[in-house]
Amino acid sequence: MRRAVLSILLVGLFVSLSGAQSTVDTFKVEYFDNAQPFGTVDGTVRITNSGTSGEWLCAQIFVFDPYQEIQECCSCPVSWFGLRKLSVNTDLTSDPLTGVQQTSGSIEIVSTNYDYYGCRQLPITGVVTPGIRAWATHLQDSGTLTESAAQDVSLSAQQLLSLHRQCYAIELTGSGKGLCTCGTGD
Amino acid sequence: MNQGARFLCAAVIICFAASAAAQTKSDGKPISYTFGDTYKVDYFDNVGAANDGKLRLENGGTSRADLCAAIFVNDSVQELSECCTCLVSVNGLRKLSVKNDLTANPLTGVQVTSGSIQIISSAVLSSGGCPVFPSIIYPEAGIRAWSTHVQDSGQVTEAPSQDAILSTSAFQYLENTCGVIQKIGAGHGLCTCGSGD
Repeated sequence: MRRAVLSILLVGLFVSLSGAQSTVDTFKVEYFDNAQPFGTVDGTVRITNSGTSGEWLCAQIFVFDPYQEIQECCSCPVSWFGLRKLSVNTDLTSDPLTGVQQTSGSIEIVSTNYDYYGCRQLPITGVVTPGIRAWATHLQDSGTLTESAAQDVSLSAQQLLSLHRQCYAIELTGSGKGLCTCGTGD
Repeated sequence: MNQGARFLCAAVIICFAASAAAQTKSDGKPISYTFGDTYKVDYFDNVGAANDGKLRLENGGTSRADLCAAIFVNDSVQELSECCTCLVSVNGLRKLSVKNDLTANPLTGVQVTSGSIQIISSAVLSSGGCPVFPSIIYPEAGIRAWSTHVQDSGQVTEAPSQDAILSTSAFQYLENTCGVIQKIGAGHGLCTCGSGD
């Protein structure tokens, strides 16, 4: 009997650890600056799917202003080894929730599954699934364009829930505002 | 341990063994599962613009041996356009042109202007050197890569290639797709290795 209880506990621990590990390699953060209307050169975000999960993915994108207020969100399909290219000016900051365009802020990208229905237009749910990689070019104050790889961050369940809830608020109240677009490629 | 538990353990072990035994390549060698630190991803864009992007490869010496960089060039809609394998000696530096080495000989003859690059760090052949096509390779850690990217404005930026987990499915997909290019490409779809080693 003790062995049976111990086995059940071990299986439970394994399952819970597996669940905890599912959020590894699923969250990337980036920034943008000197976006419209000041930017003469546009920043670009590029997203690829490394194929780690062996399936198409949805890049759930959340755009924030510098005061942690969500401005736009959207979900974009990214095929195996595909390349998606998004313009900061056109795709990520041109349709802010409040109508006030942002010149700087942060971009958060969650790598999630691509289900039977594809990617939801607004990312308010989804199963985190590793594989997204991203790069962004940054327009510096001097006008110089620099580039870096998006940085990896651990994604907690609370943070994921918070992102989804904020985007859900956009869905409920935005009347079409606050929806970013997916650029080109797949 | 009672008989039921023993039976369960034996069944699990047999299942794992059978699964591992099933994972062999066409040359009969088992697939290596030491996939850590063997996979890099990058991208290219604006091929045909005045500036050219460069891909630089270095062997960090992790394996204390020469390595083969298995390179796969996909267009932006996940179609493999070119693949090849390039020798990178210990602490060596290899430099490839996106325009001339990675996109000049597409499988379909249609120039690819943007897409993704996958690099698998792999072992040299037992006879030395690298296979021409990376259709059968054995991952081995050590390759590092950087790439310059031509932006829409014409400016050139640079970033290190990103590390990713090489899953068995992605590995087999890349190998198999390159194998198709090898069989039906009639020389098309083979990238070249630039300069250095």
